[in-house]
Amino acid sequence: MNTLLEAKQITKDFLQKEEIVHALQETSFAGFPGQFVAIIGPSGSGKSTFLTIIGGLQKPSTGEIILEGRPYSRLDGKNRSRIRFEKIGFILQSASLIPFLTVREQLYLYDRIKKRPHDEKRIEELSERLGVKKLLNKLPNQLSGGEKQRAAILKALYPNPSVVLADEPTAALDGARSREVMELLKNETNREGKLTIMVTHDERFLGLCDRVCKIEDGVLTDVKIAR
Amino acid sequence: MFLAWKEIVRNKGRFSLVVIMMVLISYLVYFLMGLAYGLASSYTNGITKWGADGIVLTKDANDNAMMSLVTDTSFGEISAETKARFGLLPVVAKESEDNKTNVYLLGQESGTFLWDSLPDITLGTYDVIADSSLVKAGYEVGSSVSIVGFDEPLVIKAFVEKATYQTVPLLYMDLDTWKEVRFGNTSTPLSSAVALKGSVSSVPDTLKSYTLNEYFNVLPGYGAQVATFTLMISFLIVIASFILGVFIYVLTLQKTSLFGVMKAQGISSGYLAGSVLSQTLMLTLSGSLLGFGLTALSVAFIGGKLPFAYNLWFNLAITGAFTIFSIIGALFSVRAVLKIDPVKAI
Repeated sequence: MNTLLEAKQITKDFLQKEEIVHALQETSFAGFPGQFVAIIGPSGSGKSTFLTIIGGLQKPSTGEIILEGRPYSRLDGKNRSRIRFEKIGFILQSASLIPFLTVREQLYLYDRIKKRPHDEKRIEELSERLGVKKLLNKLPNQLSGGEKQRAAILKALYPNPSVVLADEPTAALDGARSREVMELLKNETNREGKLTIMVTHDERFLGLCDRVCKIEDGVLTDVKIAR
Repeated sequence: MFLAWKEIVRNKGRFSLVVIMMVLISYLVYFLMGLAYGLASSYTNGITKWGADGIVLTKDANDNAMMSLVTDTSFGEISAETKARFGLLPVVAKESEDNKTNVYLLGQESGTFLWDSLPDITLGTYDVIADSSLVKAGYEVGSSVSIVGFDEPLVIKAFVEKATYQTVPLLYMDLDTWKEVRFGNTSTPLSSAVALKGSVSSVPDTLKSYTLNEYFNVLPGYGAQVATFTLMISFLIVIASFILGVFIYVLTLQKTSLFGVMKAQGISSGYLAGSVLSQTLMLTLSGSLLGFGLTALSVAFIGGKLPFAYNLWFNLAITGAFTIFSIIGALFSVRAVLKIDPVKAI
């Protein structure tokens, strides 16, 4: 199987009060289409740093990220932003949605920026599968926590990115809702052949993941690899 | 555009407050502009009709046409492309004890360009063309006007719009008739001043030449009044734009985390900055458009009671200034948007 996203010996150092902090030790990682990866680890272990670097939100101190065969972590902010827009879907803890747009308009915004026609067929199918079809014309503040996260998944998947990055997507949800969101993420990842990388504290549903990595003190190790 | 508009639509309450503020201030500004322009033109429009380029008074007149007496000899020594003598005299038109009106008699040399914009009718010795505001004082075409201190009644042959000088209505007459009122005969070789058109090569030492603008600016009160209005209007525009800028800035700061998330999702800073700018423009333009509408409405109701005058270019300039200054105000927000770090979103 082809590597979709590869991190080659990346490190991240910060300067904090004249002291160098090694947020991420030398780390390599390869992710494949259809893989649902969980990254666990204690707070401050470097999980979020890892996610922001592979998401192109910041540059690694050393090393390189290669997405679909093309190195991209060294590009300038504008180009990284463009690649994020086209190739990467983000799901955050909460607030992935714009408060003054209906769920449908969140999707339309992407089309408008991309200057392409709305793909009503994809909206129809995806929202059906994610169980948010009836919520398309609602504003985020009219949705429950679980509905918001399902809408956020819809928003992340609609542009058909190759990678989906999720930051604690279930942090604000109860057990039943968390399982629901995890299952939806897993199903869509496998079905659409995305690579989904999820940072999480929630270790209850790791059984759903194809691969689990752990980051401790800036070092990434594999805990479980299925298949 | 989409983002900016949707935000306004979904937050009608807070945005309508801003628009109301813009409407009130722009209403005030457009209204003041109309008044300022109307008042300023009522100082001058009776003689801007001429299309003259300059005015010549005697040096000793101390910039006051009423005090100027140009001799026919001096007039002869002015070398200019086109020149014409005129006389100005403040008088009181008396209809009855209760109906007295201040007017200026404006005697114009016959056969000169001074008559070009006036109705093409033959005026007899005591015939005049009058400012239309005299209609409100009860005069009509054919009415005779009694001038205090002059025995012969003057007869109004026609009315013209906007024929005032220093806000007072004018009676246009032949220079000879004017001399008769002023000096008691038509042979005195004096007139108040000279209007010039085209290039001027020289005027005699005893005379002083003004461009039309220079002349208006020395009219008593004119310059000070224009300066006062200009200052008020420009400050109002700057203040309104500043308030709008601050408002947009606060809204932008409130949306810092949202913009961070959107940047993380790959929406470019340019798009977000454009959205902030277009939102500012929407608020400014809708505010000033409504303000303009209110002005037009008010004028329709109270029109005529105030010296109100429209000038399309001034109104466009005000709208342009509102737009430019609010964009400058919005640039602070744009800078804030550009500085938002998407890493903070995660």
